[in-house]
Amino acid sequence: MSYARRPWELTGIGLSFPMVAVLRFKKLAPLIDGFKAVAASIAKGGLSAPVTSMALKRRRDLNLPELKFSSEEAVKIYQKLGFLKLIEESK
Amino acid sequence: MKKYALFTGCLIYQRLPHLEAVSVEVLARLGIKIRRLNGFTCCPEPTTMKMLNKMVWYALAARNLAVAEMEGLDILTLCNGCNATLFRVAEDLKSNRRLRESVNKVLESVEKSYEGKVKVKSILRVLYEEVGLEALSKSITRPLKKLKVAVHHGCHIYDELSHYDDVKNPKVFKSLLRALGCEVVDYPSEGLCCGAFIRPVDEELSLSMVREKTLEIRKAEADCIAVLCPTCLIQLDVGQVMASRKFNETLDTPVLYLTQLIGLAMEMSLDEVGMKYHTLKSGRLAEKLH
Repeated sequence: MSYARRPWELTGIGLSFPMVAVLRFKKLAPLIDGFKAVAASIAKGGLSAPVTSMALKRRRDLNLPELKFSSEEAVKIYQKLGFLKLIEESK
Repeated sequence: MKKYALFTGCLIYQRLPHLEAVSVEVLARLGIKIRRLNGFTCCPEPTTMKMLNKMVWYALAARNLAVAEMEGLDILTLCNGCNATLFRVAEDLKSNRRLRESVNKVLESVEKSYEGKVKVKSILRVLYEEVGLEALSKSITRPLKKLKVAVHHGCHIYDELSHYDDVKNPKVFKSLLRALGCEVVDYPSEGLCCGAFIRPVDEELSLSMVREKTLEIRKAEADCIAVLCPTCLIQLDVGQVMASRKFNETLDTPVLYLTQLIGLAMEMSLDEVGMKYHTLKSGRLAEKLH
């Protein structure tokens, strides 16, 4: 069972921001869905959100290089740990 | 001076690349060498992945550490979140052989292994420990003497910070700002989270945290807020505009990343440090620079 199914364990993960904020969460489901979306994005492009053409343009404007991220290896790690299923649930 | 693998993290790479540009420029002027490596992934984010599956969190982070280890480099982070993950995982894998063996079994799937050699340091730590206050002070050509600054550390730096500062009363960040000539002002909610994490599920609570912080910062007469984290920067920058609308108040204190302030103290312009990309523009900063 993943942690996503046991949101009451939020208090046990060592979060450093004020716990009153966590206790006042009204809806946890969107939060967990957001977490899964981040995991899925890493599998797709290596980062927590897709790299947009606008982002790449701004990098070019600032003379910053475009880097390669290794989503393939993230996917292999997910596969090895049986994590892909959880992500697919979020699609 | 040492050479580091630069770990920008997702947010800076995609949404705030001007922070990467100014940080690289400032580091170069201070004699810190960096290399950008291909092959990293998201750190991964310290709360998200650790909660969904802790071994995935360890393994993805260890793979990033292994990428740097293969190049014989330590890692310099620009983001509190990346630091929280990579610093903690590096520490755990260094001290816990069994955990390292378990993680390395997972890393066999990507033909990598991690021996536990990489040190992870935030830009705050590198500036404080390797550059030092004296050298930083000597490197500036435009002391920011008229600038009153309120600091916001951000939650995720505290794990690393506990290794070289007093986390109940942190002084390092403030001492760096004072080395730039700034006056650092105190305010009661200095340790309060920026509220970014809860914004997707409780926007009102999230924005009320921004409001509480920035009202106190305004009361302390700060000209700007100094941050160490891109997430906090976006939350306090965009969040003030949203909170202004929601609570019918004017919240407009500019938010600057540490290296943007250093850049200003090195006579870079507000445009050169990337303030044009922020939602809250420079405000009164221009007149405070002279």
